[in-house]
Amino acid sequence: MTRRTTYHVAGGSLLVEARDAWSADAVDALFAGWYLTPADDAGGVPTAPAIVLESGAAPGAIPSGLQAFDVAGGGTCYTDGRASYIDIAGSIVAIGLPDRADVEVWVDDPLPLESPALTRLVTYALSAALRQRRRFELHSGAVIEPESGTGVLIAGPSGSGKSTMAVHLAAAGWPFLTDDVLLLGVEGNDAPGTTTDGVTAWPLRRRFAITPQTYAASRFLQARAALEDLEVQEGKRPFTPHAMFAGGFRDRCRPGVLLFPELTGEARTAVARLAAGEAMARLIRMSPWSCYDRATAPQHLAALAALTKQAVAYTVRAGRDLLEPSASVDVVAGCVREAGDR
Amino acid sequence: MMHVQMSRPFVALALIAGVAVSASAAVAQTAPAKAYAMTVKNDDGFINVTLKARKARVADIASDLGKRLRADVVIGKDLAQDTVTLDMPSSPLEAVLQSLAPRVLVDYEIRQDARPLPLAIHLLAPTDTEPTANIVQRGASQGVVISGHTEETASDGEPVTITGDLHQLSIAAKNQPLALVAMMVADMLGVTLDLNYPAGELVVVDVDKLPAEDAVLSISPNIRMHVRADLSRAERTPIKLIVTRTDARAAR
Repeated sequence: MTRRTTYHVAGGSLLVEARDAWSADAVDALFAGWYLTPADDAGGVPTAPAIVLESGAAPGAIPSGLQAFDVAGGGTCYTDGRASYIDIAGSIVAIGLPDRADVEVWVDDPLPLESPALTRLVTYALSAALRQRRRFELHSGAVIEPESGTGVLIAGPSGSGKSTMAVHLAAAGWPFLTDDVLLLGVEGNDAPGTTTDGVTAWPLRRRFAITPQTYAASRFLQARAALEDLEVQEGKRPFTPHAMFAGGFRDRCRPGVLLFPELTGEARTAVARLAAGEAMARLIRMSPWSCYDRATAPQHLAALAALTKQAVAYTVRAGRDLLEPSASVDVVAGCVREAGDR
Repeated sequence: MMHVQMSRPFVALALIAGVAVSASAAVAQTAPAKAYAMTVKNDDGFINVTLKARKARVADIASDLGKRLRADVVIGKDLAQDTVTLDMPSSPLEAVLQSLAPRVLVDYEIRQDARPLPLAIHLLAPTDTEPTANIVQRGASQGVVISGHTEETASDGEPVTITGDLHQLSIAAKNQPLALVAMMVADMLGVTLDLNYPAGELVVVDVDKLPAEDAVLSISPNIRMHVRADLSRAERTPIKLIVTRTDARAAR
């Protein structure tokens, strides 16, 4: 069987082709966790698949002599600057091969649907397909300051405090997008979903996830019965935020503030403004594909640079006070006010 | 077809070449071909070639030269069957190349504090088509942020500004990521950019009206430039910028 499904994402569309039943199940299981909405109608949707997923297929041989580098989470990417192959435990994500779909995923043996390796494979495939459509993934949460409507991005690696800040701001009534992964796009990309001039951010991951340590330290979270019995998965307690926070969900925002948190364990939080160059440097280090994927690197770097021009950046040395929603609001609202006065 | 008069009997020349090999540095080797004798010597990046040939096929010499230089040597189709007779004492590589073909293009890699490294050599007849150099249209990289950064206020740090042309290039950047500066320079020059690692390190650049090669190399020791030199016309054209760690020939 071959199943083709068009998904709406970040103001655009992706046609995904699953070539067998396992692949269709894998797509369904993984895409359900992201803001990828199956299209109801076929009008205006792409006809060429952006992603093809196939199991039981012997991966094609990776050509020799390619540049190789490690990818996050385990695996190796081989590239000649045009075509790339990401090898994760013998399964391959092939990107930009001539006469192929934009991205193809060849899984040697069908993996369990909950397998972290499968998640990484499909994540890399989705990210590559989105980059080709000028949507660039950023490891960042996002909320909206309710009075001004300013989008606040909270960027950083795992463990930096993104979710902690996003959860407590959402608890204070700020509309939220995501606590972990979003997509950036710049005006001029022909995206019908772009809201205003400049950079737009869309959420990608649906669920929030907090660490047991954050839960244990936050009286606010402990007071939420819905969080009490959550199962810990991969070191975190994932939950669906939509019914939990009164401020509600938003499907996009215009970033005006860019925060780089760092958990310090100290009592008080300290905030410092970052120059645009330093903010850009941090974004580049967080976004290695902005350099490694040569086909999209100029546009990717341009999007990151546009973000640092549009948004005022701050480092947030996050103290324990941010575990109270009101304190989180005080700190971040101060950044929003200062950015607005710029 | 090009002929240079042979000054000595070929047999004697072969013997001389053999002596030269035994007395030279490790780089020098004896060419196996019968119709010519060649030594190649690399002294700290200065490449000198001794070549004596009698009705030797240019293609054979080129192939041999490519192996010794570890460079790609490409012969134009209209030159492939030509032979050459010449006697070149130890001479710079470029001079020898120009004695082999009417038109010579050399693609070099240049970087800070090093002699240009020949990567590819194109030996062409006047009727041969120049090979493409992977040059993109100026502005094709869609550096849509350039105007934004040039408009930054002083409180955000100095702007990144790139003005001029190949002959006089000015670059000013204060604490900007190398990847961004390189992208903007590549866009300005209309060349492709290879980023071999997430080059987020901040650079400070302040060069005014330097030749493009000098201006670009001043950005960082981690930036390299590929240029195409047309030896016949004394022209040099940038082809590509590469950002790579200086301590690693191949990026991880």
